[in-house]
Formats: sequence, C-alpha cells, structure tokens
Amino acid sequence: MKHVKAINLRAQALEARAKGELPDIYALQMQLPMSCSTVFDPGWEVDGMFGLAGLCQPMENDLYGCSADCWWPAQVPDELVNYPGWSDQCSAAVRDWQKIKFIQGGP
Amino acid sequence: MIPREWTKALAAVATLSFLLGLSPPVLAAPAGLPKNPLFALKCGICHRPQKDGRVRRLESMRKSPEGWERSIQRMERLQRVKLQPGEREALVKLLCQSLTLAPAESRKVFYALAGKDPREEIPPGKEKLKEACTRCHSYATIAAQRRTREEWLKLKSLHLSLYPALVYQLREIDWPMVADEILKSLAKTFPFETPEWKAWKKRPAQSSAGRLAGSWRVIGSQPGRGSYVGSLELKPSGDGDYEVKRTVLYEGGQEESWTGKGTLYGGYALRAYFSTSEGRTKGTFSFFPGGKTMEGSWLCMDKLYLAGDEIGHRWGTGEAKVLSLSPGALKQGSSHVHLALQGIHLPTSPRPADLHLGPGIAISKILKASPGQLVVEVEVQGNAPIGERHVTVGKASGKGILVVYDRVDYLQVVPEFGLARVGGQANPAKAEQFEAIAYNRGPDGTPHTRDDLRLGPVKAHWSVEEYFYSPEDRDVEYVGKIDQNGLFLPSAEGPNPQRPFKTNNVGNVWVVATYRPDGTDQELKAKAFLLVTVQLFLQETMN
Amino acid sequence: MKKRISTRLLGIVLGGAWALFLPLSGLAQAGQEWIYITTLPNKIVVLDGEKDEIVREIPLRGTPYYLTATRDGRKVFVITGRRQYIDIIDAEQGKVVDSITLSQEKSKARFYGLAASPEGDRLYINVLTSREELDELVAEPPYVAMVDLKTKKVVGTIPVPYGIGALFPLSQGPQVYAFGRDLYTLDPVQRKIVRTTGLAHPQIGGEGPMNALPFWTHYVKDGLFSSPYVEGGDPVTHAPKIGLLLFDTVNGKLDKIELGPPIPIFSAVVSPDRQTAYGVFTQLTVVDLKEKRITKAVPLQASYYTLDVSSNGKKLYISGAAPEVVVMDAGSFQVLKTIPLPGNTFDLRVIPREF
Repeated sequence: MKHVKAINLRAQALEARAKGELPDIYALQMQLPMSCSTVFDPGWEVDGMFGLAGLCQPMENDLYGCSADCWWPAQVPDELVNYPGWSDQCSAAVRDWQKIKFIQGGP
Repeated sequence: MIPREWTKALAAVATLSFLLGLSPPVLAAPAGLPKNPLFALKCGICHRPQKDGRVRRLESMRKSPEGWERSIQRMERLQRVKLQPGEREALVKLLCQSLTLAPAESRKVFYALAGKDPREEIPPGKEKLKEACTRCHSYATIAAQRRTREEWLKLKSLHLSLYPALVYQLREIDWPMVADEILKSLAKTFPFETPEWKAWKKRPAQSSAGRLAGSWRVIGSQPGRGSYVGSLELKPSGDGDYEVKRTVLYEGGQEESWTGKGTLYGGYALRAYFSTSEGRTKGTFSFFPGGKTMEGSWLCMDKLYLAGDEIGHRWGTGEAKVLSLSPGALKQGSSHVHLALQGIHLPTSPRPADLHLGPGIAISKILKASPGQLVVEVEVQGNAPIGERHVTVGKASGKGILVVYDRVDYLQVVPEFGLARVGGQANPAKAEQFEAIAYNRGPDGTPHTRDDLRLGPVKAHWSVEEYFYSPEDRDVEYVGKIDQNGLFLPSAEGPNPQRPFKTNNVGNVWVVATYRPDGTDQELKAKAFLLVTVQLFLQETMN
Repeated sequence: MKKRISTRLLGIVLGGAWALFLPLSGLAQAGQEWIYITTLPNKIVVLDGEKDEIVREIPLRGTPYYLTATRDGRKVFVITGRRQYIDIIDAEQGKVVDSITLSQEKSKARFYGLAASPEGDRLYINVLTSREELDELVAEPPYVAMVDLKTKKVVGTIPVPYGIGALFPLSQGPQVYAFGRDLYTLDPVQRKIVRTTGLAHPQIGGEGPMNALPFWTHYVKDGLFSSPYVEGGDPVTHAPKIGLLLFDTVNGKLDKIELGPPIPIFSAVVSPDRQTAYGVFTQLTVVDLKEKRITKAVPLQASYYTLDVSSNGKKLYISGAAPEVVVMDAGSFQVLKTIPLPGNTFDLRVIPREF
C-alpha cells in the first residue's frame, strides 16, 4: 500500500524516527492515535508532523466535532452511540470548559 | 438486544427457574461456563447456549479480566444491563474461570493490562493493522484477545456499528476492506484454541485457589525513585480473593506499606487495589504456572507518573537466587564499597569465599546475612576488567545484575519519546517521569554498541528547551515545568488567552539532562522529545 | 493582546455580548438570503444576510450536524438526532415542520450526506445502518436513499461504497454525484453506480492518491463545489501536496488545482462568479482560480471548519467549531463583525430566500 503510506505523514515521521533512533521499534504507539491527522483534518493529540500547530486552536473549539461523531472514541466520549448528551451541560466549550465532564471508564 | 419488556419478563422467568431448579434452554448453564444465577439473570437472556451447549459468542472468545470488564461495561452502557456493586467483578471472575488468556499469552500484553503507556512493538509485516486499528487503540487491545475465526470477523460489523464515523476518519484506507483482511489474519495469529490455553486448562482445580497464599520476596523499581525490595503477603479471604499486604524498602531508605484487597482471575491474574498516601493504586500481578514466581506492576490512578514494576519469588519454594545488587555498577578502583545482594533462600552464614563476583573484585567482609539479603564490603581493583558479571553465593546465582566500569561515557534520557497531558482542573493531568541513565562504552571500547554497559539512573540537572516546530510558538514558556528529579509537570488545560488563537498549553519541547560524573570536569548531556498534548476526556479500563 | 484575561471573565464578557443578540421578536427586514448556522446544543441560528444580525433561533430535536435546502430556500434540511433524523424547516415559518427517520426499533439508520433534488421534491441521503440482533450488532451495506418529500417514503435505494460524505444532484441531467474516497456517478433510474472517477485510486500516471473529507459541502445553488485534498505525493519525491478539488454541479465536470506543500485548509468554497476559491481553518486562504495560485492568506483568531460566500460575492461568513460567526469583507478581508453564538458550531450555509 505504498500510495497510502505516502499520505500518512505521521507514520512517515514515525518510521523515519524508528529507522534512525529506535531500530527495533516499528511504531511508538503510546496511546496516540498515530497518523490520524492530515493537514486539514486535525488529529486529536498530535498533527501530521508530531506537532500541535496543525490542530484546532484551541482544541475546545473542535471538541464537539469529535464527540458528536465518534471521531476519537478512545479519547473523547462519543455522543453518537456511547455517551449521548455528554456536551449538553456546556455548549460553548471554549467559554465553559471547566464544566466538561471527564469520564473514567465504566458504563 | 431485545425489547426492554421482554428483558424484564425473561429476567423474572430466569430468577423463578433458578429458584425452582429448572433449566430451560435459555437458562441452561453454559458448557464450560459454570452454572451461575447471576450470569443467567444478567447475561443469559441474550447470550444463550447453541445446540452444542456453548454460549453463542461468549464461549468463542477469551479475554483478559480488563477486556471482559470493558465488555460488561459496554453492556451496562448500551444494553441497559443493571448491575449492583460487586456484580461486574463477579461476572468477570466467572468468565475468566474458563474464558481468559493463558498465563503465557497474558505475559505478552502485561504492560497494557497494568495500564502502562503502550510503547509497543507492532510486529513487522503488520502495516495494515497499524493503519486500520492502532491509530485509535493499542496493539495490546487486539493481542489480549483470542477468538474463533467467526468471532474475529464479527469485529468489523461491531466497529462499523459502534463507531460509524471511522470510515471517514480513516479515509485514506478502504477500512471495511482492510478490516476483512486484517481480521482473517488475526484469526490465524490469535485463535481461540492455542497450545498455551490447552496446557493452562489442565491446571489444578479452583479449590486450590489458596495455593498462592504466603509470603513473596519482591524486587522492583520505580522510575524517579529507584529500586526497592520487600514482600507481598497473600492471605486467602475466600472465593479466590486475597488480602494483600505489600511492604517495600526503597534504596533511599524510605519504607512503604500498603494493604488492599485482591481478586484472582483465571487462577493466575491477581488484581489488587490499595489506598496509599498518594491515592488509589492498582496492582496488577501475574503468577506463573507452578506458583513460584510472578511479575507485578503498580500504578497510582490519581498520579499516573507514580508506577513501578517488580518481580516476585515465593518463600519456601524454588531454588536459591540472587535477584539484584545495590549498587548494580561498580567502578574500577573503588574501595570499601558496601554491596547489598538481594535474593531468596540465600545462605545465612556464608564465608567470603562462598561469594564470587568475578575477577578483580575482592570480598573483604560480610556485614549482614539473612535469607533475603546479604551485605558485604568489597574492594574493586583498578584493573578489574569492565563488563557484566555473573554473581554467585553458594548455590544461588544471578546474571546480568552487576557490571564493572571505568567511567561514564554517555547519558540517555528515558523515555526517549515522552508524553504528557495538560490538566489538573477538570481533567486529570498526566505528568511524565524522566530518568537519565548512565552508560559505559563496554568491553569493545565503542559507545552505542550492543555490549555497552547500563550503569543505571544518575542524578542529573534537568531543563526544558525549545523544540523547533513552528516559528515563535514559544512552547517552553507554556507547557509546564520539570523538577530536579526529572518529573515534568504539565500546565493546566483550557484555552490560554496569552497564546495566539488562545490555544492550549500544549507543545513539543526537548527535555535535557546534564550530568557531571564524580571526579571529572566533563559534562554529559542527553535529551528526549516531549510532546505535551491535550487532555483525555475519557479513560476506558484498558486501552 | 498581552493583558491576561481570565477565562471566567472572558466567559462573562462573551456571554454578555451574546445576550445582546438574543432572539428578536418577529423577523428582521427581509434580506436576499439568510445564513443558517447549526449550533450546540440543539438549534439553528439564522442571520439576516443584509444586516448580519441574528433573526431567529430554530430549536431542533438534538445536536444538528449538516444542512442543506431546496434551491429556493423554502425548505431547509438538517441532519440531527444522533444522525438518525432530518428535521425539515419551513424557512418562512422559521420552525421545524416535519422530520424524516429511517431508523426502526432494532435498526439505526444514520445519515452521512444529503442533498435536495433541483426540483425540491426529493431528498438524496447517504445511509449507514446498524441492525441489532439478539447478541450482536450487524452493520448493513451503505446505500443512498431517495426520499419523496411529499410522502416521506423511500422511493428507491442505490447501493454505494462506504465513505460518502456529500451528494450532488446535477441540475442538468438525472445523475447524482456522490463524493467519498472516489467520485461516483449514480443513476437514480437504474439505481446503480454507472461511473467511478478515481480520487483515492489515481487515474493519472504520476499522481498520488487524493484524500478529501467532503463534509462541509451541502450546496444549495448550482456552482462549483470545492474541497481541499491532500495528495499522497508523486512517485519521485513522495512529498505530500495540498490542492483543491473543483466539481461543477451544472455539468458534472471535475477539476483540481495543486497548491503546493500542505497549508491549513479544512474546507473550501468558491465565489458565485467562479473566479475565487476560499479555504478556511486557522487562516483564510484566497485562491485565484484563473491563475491557479494562492493570492492571499489572512490570519484568523481561531480555527474554523467552514465558510460560505454571500450571493453577491461580497461577504464571507466563517464559522464551524468556534461558538461564533465571523463576517468578513471579501474585498478588503477586514472583519466586519464577530457574532458570538450560544454553542459550538458545525455547519454554515448561505441560503437564498426566493419565496
């Protein structure tokens, strides 16, 4: 899948890293959803080049774009299926981010 | 996944049938799964036996206790299964009796079960898996399951149903097609029936659950705090549960004693919870077949940078062993060094001649001797050859636990790729503990080669430097601070009005350690990449 | 601004500003068009296109996602209710008058992409269905549903691949184009895909695969649809490139413009005169479509998912993500207004008012 590999900026960065510095480790996963982001589609935790400048600024603006559509279901409660109504108490995240609930496992 | 009213009616029937001792097909105790009223009531209504007596779906997969816990949590969340306190754990225990991983299978994913950041090695040739699966969850999430082929293939539908947006998010691949391909391959890599599982199924009956009871010698280390030795006392409290007492002494002299309650899953996987001065702490222990050795890991769930790894040997079983030395690295020409040998079943009245630490190291005195520890005074000759030493004390021996060196040649900062998360207000922050590890170039005289000697963590000076990524982002000013013990504490979450776009206190920086070895004027320096990223809003049991 | 403002204070300031724009009674003076913005938790905020003031808030059944309308703007359709409903708004009355769902008790049908037919009598909806069985969830193959708006009945379905995010019924001709990983031409009469134009599967030698997310693309009028893409890189350098896809909803012609190394563009729109494309994210990127090059990059104060252009081409409306809408002069690129909104936003469309 060479053509896919080329799009996958973060994977490329990782592979380059892996080749140079950590020869035995194929990918550093670290619970990062590696290579999720492309330049115009911000990743949750890191952008295509191991940075954060390519992400939504600030991330609170994009938070419900993630939750409403199960875009990052391992990091953000998805409201489509698993955690409906999660954002109801705080509609404008950038203003009221302290009200956003953290969900620790469980039902 | 049947109408609510049916669920209620069937639950009533199930209860009644159980009380009357009836077992209509719906309620029959599943083959393999022990007959259990709680299972019949909470799960058996939808999860029914097939013609062969096996419960459809459930008896075609095996999972870790954490894996089953997540599945049950999902049933509670989406299928309106109502459980009382303790019932989830009881169901996990039941499922793990006959449907969990074999100890050898569990060992490969132990790091993830223990809740550690999975810095994973994804096997070569699994590029597609990396593209289609491990962007969202760890490889261990997969490798901690065994399923029949049919069950592996069902995961495609499950993912498309639970997370329909994934085809858009992972749009650079044809996810449904790639998923088919990967799942067929996983069915071969992680089948339901394996030799390890067949062997483990023949283990002693559950009645011998107390067989792990007793006292265990524990040797471990905590990044940022150093190594420790101590004991783990296990006292059966019925039904596979244990009262657990853990007492350890750090090399710095501090003692910690925790007591908690542990539950044994599948005959070997102990999960214990302790209330410590730092917060709720989970202990994950895996006992190896034979019941003589174990590996363990602990993690403070309130301060995720507080964690440790340990191994254990049971007193009264197994051979004598030297497990660790403190210090574990001896410099040429050192004299009057007090060396502590930690072990199990060590001779209690040894003579200096009973100890062998290799050429050039003379044992001058035996200061203390007990079955768990021997403290001796040693003299290291100036020309003692550098390299790893094989240590023996009478019949006890230990490999790879002592090195002799002439100087520190370089430093390495670990982890090489750090991850911290802003937080502390509404969401938990994740700090990152760094360590500076000193190395010697090894017998071949060339640094950064396979024979280099790891001398252990050293007390370095710590700082954070700008990692050039985007012009003038000045991340160093915002992301957080590192203390002189190598602990990076991230800043708070939330938009920061002082930054362009009011962006969060996230960024990427270098973490730099500098160290001047004793008696030299040479300054050694090493650095690691640190990504300080956004907080989590969800933390599942295991990822 | 160097002076530190606490986030709490900021909240109060923005909240106060928001209060100034609370729903006005009745309608403001009729403009040529209205700007519809889907906002959390459950409403559409409507701006008058002349005064750029909020004239309405239309409550919905749940979080709204994407929206489109009939070409005269009389009916507005919004995906909501955990993607299982389309609420139908009567633009004149300013309220939800009807809704469509294809979900049933044991099957959840979720909507990803919708478009109204040029005549306004039919909706095309891309549907992903998950069926609940006793002990498992089964995902059914995706399809495009053709829904008769009078009867709300599905009058036909067209099987499609996964990944479709936008649908474009051609104004001249029966075909409907579906944008996903590739561009599919659907024939509603034969009820099948009659042609696939490769995007993820490049058809031109030397080109890399393209990757686009056509979510902010529910056009109302005929024109040029645009979406940014990232190209995986040519066979020699492997360097990724960004560009714009351009799709003519009049004749179905697909074109693309290479813009060079990746820059922040999340979604894009083309001016009604087809001369200029605007891309948006943390900056506004202006592209001259004749010259095929970027002519300006205007810094923004936050990141935004989407934007639209007024029908006279003079104003840009920028929103999505941030709980606000930025009104910008399309000539000087000066911000004319930033209007706070009650919640985070998803989609914004300029919708004509031709009734």
